[in-house]
Amino acid sequence: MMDGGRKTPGQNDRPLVMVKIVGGVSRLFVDRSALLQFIVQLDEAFMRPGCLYMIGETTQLFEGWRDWTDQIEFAAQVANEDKAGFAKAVMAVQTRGDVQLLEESPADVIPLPSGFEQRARSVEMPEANRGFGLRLFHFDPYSVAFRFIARGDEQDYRVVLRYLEHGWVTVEELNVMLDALLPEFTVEVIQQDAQEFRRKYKGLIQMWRASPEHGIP
Amino acid sequence: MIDVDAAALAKHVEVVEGTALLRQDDTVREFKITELPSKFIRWQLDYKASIYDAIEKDQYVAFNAGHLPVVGTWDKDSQVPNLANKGVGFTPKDEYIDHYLDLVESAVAQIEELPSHAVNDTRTLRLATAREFYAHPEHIDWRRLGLLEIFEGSSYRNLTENPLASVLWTGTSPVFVSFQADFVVEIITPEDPRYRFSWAMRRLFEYEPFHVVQTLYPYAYCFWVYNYKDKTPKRRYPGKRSDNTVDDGRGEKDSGSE
Repeated sequence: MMDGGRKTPGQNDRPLVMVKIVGGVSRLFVDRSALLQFIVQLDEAFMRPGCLYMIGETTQLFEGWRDWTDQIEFAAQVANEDKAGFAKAVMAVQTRGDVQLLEESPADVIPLPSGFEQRARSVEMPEANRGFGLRLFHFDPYSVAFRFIARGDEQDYRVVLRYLEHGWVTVEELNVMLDALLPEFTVEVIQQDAQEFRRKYKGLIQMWRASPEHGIP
Repeated sequence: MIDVDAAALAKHVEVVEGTALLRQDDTVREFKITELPSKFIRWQLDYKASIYDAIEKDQYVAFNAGHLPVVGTWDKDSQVPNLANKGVGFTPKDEYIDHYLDLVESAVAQIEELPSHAVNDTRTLRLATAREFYAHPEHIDWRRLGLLEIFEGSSYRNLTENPLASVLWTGTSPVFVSFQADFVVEIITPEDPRYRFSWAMRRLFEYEPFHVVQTLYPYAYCFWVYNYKDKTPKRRYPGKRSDNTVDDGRGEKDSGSE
């Protein structure tokens, strides 16, 4: 997937696609219909095989867990010879719609827990009523959870809590994966500060335990 | 009620094409009005959603940090500001205010047909009304806040003399979201649609346990944003960056120090 989750995360040179629209709040929000339109238009523009991974709130918007998000966040896996074409397709679709896009794999920021490829969730989109060259997935929720905890904005915690509420991740599995993962964090990268990560992670678990929805002892 | 000329007070601040004009002591000061930042707006929307979820489930609301920031006001001669936690809300953009005023005032009219203690019977309607407003963030005027005056105390006296204020919001662990915003304050009277909207939104939740029931709101305030700062704490690292702090912007930790 992507450029390989074990390759110097946070230090690769893959360009970050972040298209920001200048304007007021009226253009900051993406609802589910805008997300579906983006996916269809991207597939039409690209016309090549590949994998498109939705991430975080974008996953949760697609699944109907929330009504809007402020940007479409995704990662993609395409053949090397198609990468330029994919970037071009993203730009073409972006210029057609007033949405913010963020293309960033969790692998760009942190090492990913083993088995992340297998935990990606395949997605069907019957509303589109068409075949797709791009196969749709939700990125492994455990990887997304760790990446979002590492960033640690308020909305990042809410994304992870929502994964917990819906049973897409469990505290027990997070704990097990984290034990294996933290030794791989490097002190060279801000986002992989293991001490700060532990503080944030503990905060998340406390938030989860304080929430009425939690299901752990 | 303090005997003041509300109409005269209201003329101290006027907003024209995105600029607030503050008339004081025969001078006019201009403040460029700005929208609150998207990070703050996201926090507000998420926080309100969580409060409405808690109300829906009749859960204990220990504090409503998004709604109850510290408001600082001062008169021209004071050595220290007056600080007070105050309930603040948002109002629709002018072009949407009639629509949402009708929505919220209609809901208030319906709930007032029942006794005030019948909060459980009206909760669904009250929540649906509030959620409908915040489900359309693009209809909200994020350049201004609405506050209701209750006590006509120190904040009120300061604002009548010196219609400037600062507001500090502080969120909870582990993020401790913190924003300061600075405002020019317009005093508005009960016939103003922004007053009516703020009053009706308050009325939706007047009898929930987290509110102290009030019946008198002589004035309201429209706080116009002219400055803000994200004060959310971050870990500080030794390094060469100008602010010597870090964010999550894909940067690497600087290893050396000057």
